[in-house]
Amino acid sequence: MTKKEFVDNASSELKITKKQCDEAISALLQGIIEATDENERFAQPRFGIFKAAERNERIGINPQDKNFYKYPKKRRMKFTPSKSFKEEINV
Amino acid sequence: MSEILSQKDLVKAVAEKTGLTQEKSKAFIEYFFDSIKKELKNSDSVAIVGFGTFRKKWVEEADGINPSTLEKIKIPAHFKILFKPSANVALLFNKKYENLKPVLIERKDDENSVQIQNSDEEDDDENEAESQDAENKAVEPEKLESKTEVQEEKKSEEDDEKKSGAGKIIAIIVIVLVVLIILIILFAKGCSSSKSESEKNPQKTEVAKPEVKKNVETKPEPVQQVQKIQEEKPVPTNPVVTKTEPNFTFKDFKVPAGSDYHTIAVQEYKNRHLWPVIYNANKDSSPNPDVLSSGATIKVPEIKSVSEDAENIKAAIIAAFNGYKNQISASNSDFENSEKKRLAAGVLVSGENLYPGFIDANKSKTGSDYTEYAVEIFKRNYSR
Repeated sequence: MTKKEFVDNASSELKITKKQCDEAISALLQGIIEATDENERFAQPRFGIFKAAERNERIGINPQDKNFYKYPKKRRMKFTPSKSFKEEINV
Repeated sequence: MSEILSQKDLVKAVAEKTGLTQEKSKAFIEYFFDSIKKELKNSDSVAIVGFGTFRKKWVEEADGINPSTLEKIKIPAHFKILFKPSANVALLFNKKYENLKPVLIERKDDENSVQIQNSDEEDDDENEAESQDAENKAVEPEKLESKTEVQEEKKSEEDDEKKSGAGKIIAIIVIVLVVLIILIILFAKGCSSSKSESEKNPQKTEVAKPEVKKNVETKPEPVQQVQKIQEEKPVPTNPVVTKTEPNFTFKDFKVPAGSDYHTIAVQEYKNRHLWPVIYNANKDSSPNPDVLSSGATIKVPEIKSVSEDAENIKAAIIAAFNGYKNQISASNSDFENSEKKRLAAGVLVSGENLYPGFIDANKSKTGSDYTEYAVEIFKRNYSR
């Protein structure tokens, strides 16, 4: 499904204009990204939780040159699916 | 913990930016996430540009253990939901650690040896060229003396190739003397206990043959290590053996395939932290705590209770700790050593779990390095 298809479906189903729909998507995603980047969690009921998580530094092997490297710690966005999301996917 | 962005706040933000009513923007958010769910059900992945990709992965049926009851359960085959943030989001989130880069710790062993061989060959070529020059000018060897050690080594190879001329023989003697002095300084710093022995050996070999110089420089380290191992071993093991073996009653146990000391300890004692007791009973046949051949028959001591056999169990934990520690000096790779160190500290953490205060009590036996490391692991894993 492309973004255009989604906008078409959403606008006809919710009776809002395509422009509003387009703006709503970017506002929604931006809201989640900004909030989680400021160490807030965003929980969408029956979908899951978005939050920022730090990963410790680790020792690993570069698969190309097979040498051992110490990879630094990093911070990433993490998503944990809710129980109902998992169940729906596995039905 | 972190604050929570509730759905209400998000609804407000969306409503403000788009001019929709709150009800409609809430309906929109619900619709948005529902359509992601539907889409993921029908396809393998859903990519949202500028945000990330949801993906589902098939996981086969697997055996598992309920961590609270230790009951064996079957985890049914299922789809796992994965999320990977897109590049711009990943960069934004990682801004704090942007400047950190991976650091090379150790080269692959095979490659390393190949590189050394190559460089040796190059050196030989250079030496041949240099030796021709040196034959023309007999004064050059004396000039080279003031340069670095590496060049001195090269020169010795040169000189070996030539094998003629009185001036060159003098040069060889001078080089031997210089290297001798360097070696003596190194030994004086390196080890005070094995000083007298190690100083005698290189002198003998070097006076006889200058060719052996390279080998002499590398040899002393392993020799020292071996000596250390020999010094360490008898101290911890002797008291342990005398204490534990008479006090426990043993029963024979056949090792099932795919199990280790941990799984046997869980099976027999219902406590994985007690695995060092089994290791201690069998360490004469297999000194490596990680190695346990399936099908072999091992001795499993019978423990009455954790508090009654406290002394024997504590001794067994120290033995297991030494089992890992002895391997550190024996194996070569830095990566392996750091793993063994972690495992050795992990044994102490097991001890702390059984007997609070165990790590501090055995500080003198284990050394402050391991004590600090073990306390760190314990804090991270067991205290909230």
